[in-house]
Amino acid sequence: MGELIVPILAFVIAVIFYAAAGSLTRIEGFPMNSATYPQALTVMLMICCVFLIVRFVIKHREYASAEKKLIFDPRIFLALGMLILFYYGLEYIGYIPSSILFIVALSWILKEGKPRILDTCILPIGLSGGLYFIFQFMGIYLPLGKLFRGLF
Amino acid sequence: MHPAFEALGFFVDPLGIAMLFAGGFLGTLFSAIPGLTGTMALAIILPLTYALPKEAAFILMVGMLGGTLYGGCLTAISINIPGAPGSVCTTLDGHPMFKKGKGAEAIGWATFASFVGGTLSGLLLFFCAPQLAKFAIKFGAPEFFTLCIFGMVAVITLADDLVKSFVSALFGLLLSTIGGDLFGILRFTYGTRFLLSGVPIVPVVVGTFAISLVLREVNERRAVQENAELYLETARNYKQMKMPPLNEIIPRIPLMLRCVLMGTFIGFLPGAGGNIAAFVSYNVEKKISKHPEEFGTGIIDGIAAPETANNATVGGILIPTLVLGIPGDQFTAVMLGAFLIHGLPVGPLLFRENPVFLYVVFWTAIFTNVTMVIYGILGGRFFVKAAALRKSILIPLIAIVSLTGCFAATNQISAIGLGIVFSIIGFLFNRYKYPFAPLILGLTLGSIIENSLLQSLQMNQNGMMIFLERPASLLFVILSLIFILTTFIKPGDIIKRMAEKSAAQKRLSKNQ
Repeated sequence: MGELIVPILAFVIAVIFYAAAGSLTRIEGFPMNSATYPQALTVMLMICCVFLIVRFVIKHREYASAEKKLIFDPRIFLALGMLILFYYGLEYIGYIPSSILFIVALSWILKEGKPRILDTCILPIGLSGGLYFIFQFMGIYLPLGKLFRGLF
Repeated sequence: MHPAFEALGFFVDPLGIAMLFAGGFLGTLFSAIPGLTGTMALAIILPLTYALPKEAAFILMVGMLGGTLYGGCLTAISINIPGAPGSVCTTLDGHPMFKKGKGAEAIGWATFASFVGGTLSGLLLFFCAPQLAKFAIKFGAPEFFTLCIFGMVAVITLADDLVKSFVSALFGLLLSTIGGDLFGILRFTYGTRFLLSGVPIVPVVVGTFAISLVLREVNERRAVQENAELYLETARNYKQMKMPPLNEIIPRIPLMLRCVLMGTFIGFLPGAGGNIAAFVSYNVEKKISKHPEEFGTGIIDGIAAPETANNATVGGILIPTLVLGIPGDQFTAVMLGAFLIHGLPVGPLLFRENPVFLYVVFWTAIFTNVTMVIYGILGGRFFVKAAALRKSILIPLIAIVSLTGCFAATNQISAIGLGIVFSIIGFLFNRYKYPFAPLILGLTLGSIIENSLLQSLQMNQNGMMIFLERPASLLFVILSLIFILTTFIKPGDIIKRMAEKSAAQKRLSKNQ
């Protein structure tokens, strides 16, 4: 069934875009207006998605045997959750603390055997601190976060 | 002053030199580490180039392209594990030579052949691209439209599954419609300020190529780099490479020249990259050799041929990318996105508006080969050792640099959110074998396609017939049709079937 994720998602996106394009202002006197091009693309996308879904239904046995090898590790959702936490963390606690926490957590997920001091201390602090100052040197100021903004 | 001489000024500038060496280093490093690719390196580095002048940014990126084609040979020869697809063929003779105790000579030959291949194909690019551009510069809206369509067709038809590839392209094209259009109307922004000027390309590229790697690695549970012990052991015993002596080089000049031509030509064809060039040249050289039986046993010709051809693809890949805006592979598809980021036009207009910049790119394609030799001599051991780097260090490093890069590109936290969304899309695309290149190219060329279509239709009352009335435009339509047809009817397969049929008939007549 995993094979259906992309065509179904793409189909839904195409429908949303098609509907939204229908409400765009139409300018007269031109061979095309704002909606023509995106609507043509969405129609083609919908046809392709339907084709992929039908193909899956017809050949589902072939796909099922291939899909047995494709197993989702539950830790992938943990990694995804960490990415989202990093995103929200930037706004509130700023770049350095959230990136340190993110690197520690990711190293912990990927670790094999005992946790190493390099992965849990040196790498996160060195990397996030180093990147912060490199970007500052380049004139790009990474977020300090709402919590620390008043301190600096 | 001729723009070619003016462009040389960037290579005496400390920033230009630093970028040239940094590009060569990063390209070599990423291609030496199995599992990482040059495109991934480019995706990670792309946001960082914002702060650089466009010339320095492209010295870094083109330098990287050269490095990505070279680095794979180091692990291919020493460990029999090619770091990059273009070096697979090098294992055939490279590793047997290494096992015979001639590792220093093997890596020396691979480095020298890469240098020759890259430099000569860079020279071909230098002289051929401007000639082709003289023709392309006369293009109007109909030619631009059909050219972009041809570029899309060329990239879509690279994939095994045409429908999945088309879905990827349509998704990219649809994304390109977000933001303000030609009429000044905002489309699909849903009140988001972040999307007013369209979907920023950096978070899309970084998300699909680099951040999605985090999800893939977590899913595949590979904490320790496979064969890490073997890499470390090889690095410990690594001997300084030996550059080949003149008496070995001179008899192989015709071989290398043939491979340069084959590599450049194959590189020119969309989708046929270093891997194909290496195997084709290896087979051709084996066929015309006086001692074909020695190929595969660890001979110099078996290293010189694939490595020369592999690196010679650089010139071939860059000609259609720079002159026509048609990328030959994933790396150049992402590189086209970099043109937009730096406010450069894609395709023929580049030659008219930025000649000095283009010569900077040409010189980089030539000079980057010097950095390869230096890294081969000084850093061979380091690159083999780097291939053993633990995933628990490597992946967080890639993740945090990529996420930070998303922010740096737009100065908005929303870009990181977009990067995360595209990492999920990248993960799903990778898992269910949807190619990335059509998506990136669709996003890059989408607005050009729409604008040139509108302009073309306004130019002519006959509607779509305008694309068949102009010679260059008709040529691109025909080429697109040929590319589509050859995905269904493969000439190679027909020839193979005919050969098999005639061989069977011969056998039958012999038996009778």
